[in-house]
Amino acid sequence: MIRSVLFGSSGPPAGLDDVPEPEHFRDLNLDQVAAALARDNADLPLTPYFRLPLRDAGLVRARQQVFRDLEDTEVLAVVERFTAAMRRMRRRLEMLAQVRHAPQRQRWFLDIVLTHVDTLDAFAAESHQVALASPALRGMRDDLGAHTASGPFGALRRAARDLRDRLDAVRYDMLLRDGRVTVAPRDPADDDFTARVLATFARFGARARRDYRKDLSADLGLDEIEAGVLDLVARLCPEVFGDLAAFAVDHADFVPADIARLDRELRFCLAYLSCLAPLRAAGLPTCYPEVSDTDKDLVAHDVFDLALAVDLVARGEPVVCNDVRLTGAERVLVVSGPNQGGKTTLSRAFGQLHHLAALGAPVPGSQVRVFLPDRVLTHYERAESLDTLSGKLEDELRRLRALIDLATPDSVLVLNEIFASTTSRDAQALSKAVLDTLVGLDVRCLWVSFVDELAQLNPAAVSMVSLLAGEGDLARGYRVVRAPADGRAYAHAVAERHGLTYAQLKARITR
Amino acid sequence: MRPHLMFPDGDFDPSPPAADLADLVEDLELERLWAAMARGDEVLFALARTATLTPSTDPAVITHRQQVLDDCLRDTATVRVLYDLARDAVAAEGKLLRSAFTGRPEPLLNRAVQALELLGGFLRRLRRLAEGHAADFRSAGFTTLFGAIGAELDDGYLREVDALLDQLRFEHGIVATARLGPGNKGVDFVLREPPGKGRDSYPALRKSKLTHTVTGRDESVYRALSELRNRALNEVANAAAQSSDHVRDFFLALRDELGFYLGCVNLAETLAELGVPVCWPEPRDPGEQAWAARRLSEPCLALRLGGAVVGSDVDADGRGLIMVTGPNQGGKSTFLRGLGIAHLMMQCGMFVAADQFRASVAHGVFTHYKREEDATMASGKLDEELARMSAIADRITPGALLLCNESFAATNEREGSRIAAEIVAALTDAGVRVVFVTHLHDLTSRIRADYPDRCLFLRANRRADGSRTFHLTPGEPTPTAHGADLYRRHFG
Repeated sequence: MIRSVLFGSSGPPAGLDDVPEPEHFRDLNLDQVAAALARDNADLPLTPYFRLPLRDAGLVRARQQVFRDLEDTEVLAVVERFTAAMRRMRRRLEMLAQVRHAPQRQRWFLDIVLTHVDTLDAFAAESHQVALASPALRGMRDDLGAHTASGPFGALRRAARDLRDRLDAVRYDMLLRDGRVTVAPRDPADDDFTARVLATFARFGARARRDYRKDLSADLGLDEIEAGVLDLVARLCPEVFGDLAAFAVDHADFVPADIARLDRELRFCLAYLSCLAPLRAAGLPTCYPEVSDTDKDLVAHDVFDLALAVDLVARGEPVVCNDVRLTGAERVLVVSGPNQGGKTTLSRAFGQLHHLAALGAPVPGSQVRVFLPDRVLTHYERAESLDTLSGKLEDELRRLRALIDLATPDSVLVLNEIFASTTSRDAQALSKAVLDTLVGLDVRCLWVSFVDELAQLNPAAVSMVSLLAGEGDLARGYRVVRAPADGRAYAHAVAERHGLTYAQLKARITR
Repeated sequence: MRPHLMFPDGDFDPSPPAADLADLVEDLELERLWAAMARGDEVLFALARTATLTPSTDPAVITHRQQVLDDCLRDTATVRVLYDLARDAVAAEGKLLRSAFTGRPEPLLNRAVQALELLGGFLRRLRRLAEGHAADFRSAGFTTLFGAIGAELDDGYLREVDALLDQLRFEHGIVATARLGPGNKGVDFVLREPPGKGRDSYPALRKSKLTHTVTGRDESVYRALSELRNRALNEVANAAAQSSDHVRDFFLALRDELGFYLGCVNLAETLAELGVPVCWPEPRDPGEQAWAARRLSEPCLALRLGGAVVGSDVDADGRGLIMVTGPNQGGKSTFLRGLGIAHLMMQCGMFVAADQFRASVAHGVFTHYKREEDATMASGKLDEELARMSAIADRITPGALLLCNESFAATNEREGSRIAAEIVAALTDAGVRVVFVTHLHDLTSRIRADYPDRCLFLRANRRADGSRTFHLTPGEPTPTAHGADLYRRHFG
């Protein structure tokens, strides 16, 4: 039995494949990431793993160790060889169903089994040649060793190879004349007529200037004549072809469920890492977060929106990273600032961070410390139009109410631009009420709000504003930083970009 | 079996040289030479072109060709017959339908068998010709070739070929051994000796009841059967096609190598009619700095004028530079061409239009001529000239020969002279031989002062009545010659 590398000894939870898409996926654009993973791995259902966050910090750390092992290029190569071979095998089995001619189909089946035996033997051997640190992969290595050394697997290996050797030894002569093909055992004379032709004309030059040969065997299928000849060959060698037919029946289910599961779990890790690869290549930081199921502090440097970053990097555009901190008595991060300032993006990064960390995967950012929440709750403006503004406000309040009902002190909440449909007076009053409710609930929250002074309305609230990134480079866009929402930070950034801050100006004047 | 008439141990590559030699061809008016060699035969023209433009620097190769050419000149009739035979063999093979085969093995095989049958007839004729004339030829090239033809194409061999071609028709079926590849597809077909008429071969196949018979009208089944035949014949069709290529290539090489010599024969006959003296040149090692000629003339001029022209003497042994001065229309350019052509002819194994010619072989002949037609501004012209010189410098090596005709005359005399003098000094120091036709008096006096021993000065002359002589004599440049000439041209 090969243990689960993602869920430890308890194994995957029941109903894994029925996990619905979490409510927050759409708001946080995690549905895009899930879709990208699914698109690149159409042959296996990996989305369930991506949808299922863990709450057990120990299990998260165990998964992080698996991911860390896979970051090693040698380990990665070994695992990729295995998963690629499994992928090919599944495709070949699908194609096999379309082969109607029995002696041909049975031979392909034997081939697939042989390849699979080699795949497992190689994986078991190679996993001993690389340094594995994670208990999960070490356990897998032991299990693989036991599996490939087991009696049934050995019997499969022997039977398959013996059959292959006997088929390889088959030689037959064909006589093609008019509309007939006659088959007989190979004639013992060992002549090669082609060689004689070449030898006869060798005196005119031995160097071939041109190769006229056609690659006529590129097509692996059999036409009617070939199938007919094969049937004759089967009659010529009834014993070996009889055994071949029996082999296909006896070993129809030669891939055990736990091997298939191992492949799928490893593929999830590889898929996630390959999603990060272009981002890492573009210089974006990722890290293994320090996770806790008790300590609720959040400290995260250089976080970014994973879904957006995938897009931007693909287009060669820069990605802005931000620092986020919510510690001690702080409960609510209030984000304000100019439009297009990256506030919504930061809110998604914040929400994603909690989900991704709970997958045990590396997350966007550097030096991340994060609490494993019982749920991530989100409220974003919905595109669907409602008839009236009052209808919209009412809808918002209803949704907020539902969220707050679900929230516990272990939850994480992301609110994006609520109450935009009412007057600013109303918005301020409603926001204050909601803020007090949230603080009362002791829930962690990031709140993107146009109500600038919201952060001043409760001591548990912290203000972050978006401002232009460092001097001189407009392309780097906005950063969102902890600062009071008084409008000054923005002005400072503009001055800095022109080299006209106090310090800059002084330095330029005194040089 | 290869002709080896051009190289004692190697094949002649008739393809045009890769380098851009348009300037050389134009400046030396080589097309006139090739036309005289070709006498309207495009193949001969191309061969003359390639041979003269790929001069050899190996005295052994040059001597080898001189000896073969000597044989040819003594028995021109046989050379023409041999050339015609080779040419006809190549042409006949080329006429066999190439479009009929789509590259599929069976049609390919059929064509190859046809071609080999056809070429077999030419091989027989070639052997009879060789037998009949072997005694008349004494060069190493012909002796070896005729010897090989006699030895390799004996009756026994030709009969063996006939028998093999007969077998390649597979009249009694095709036998192939196969094994089971991926998906139990029959693979690694090894074609066996074709079964004969009798009952002695392949007893198991003859007794076997395991037969798949194609019946009905389904076209795809017949296509499949044909495919199986093609796979069985794939290797042997390739072998037969390559063999037929090789035999054809032998005739092609024979045609091309003989074609060069036939061109030489044509030219020799024409020059003899015009009374132009020719001699066997003496190729010398580049280190010898040999450069001597008696009555060296420009054959193309003789061809153009339809009569013999007066040649010039050169005594420049040990010198790396010849400066040619004198009035226009005095034969300077003719001399320059004549010397360049003599090098190319000598080094491709030909005779040379002179009473005597002895020279170190040149590692390439280059030309740098003033471009008359260029109507751009002077600075643009100088720029263009320097660019061409730079392109030459990219390719030229020590031991090469550079022919300059009024180079750097486009700018003022001082500037042009200074540029030219530096270039000439650099080239000759590097071991490039230079022949420089010039009106630049500054240049010649600078060379005379700086390199008195390195340079031979030749002067063009005109008779008192102003008529042309094409005869150059040793002589230092005179500063007034150019001016007086110009004065005469404009005011005379």
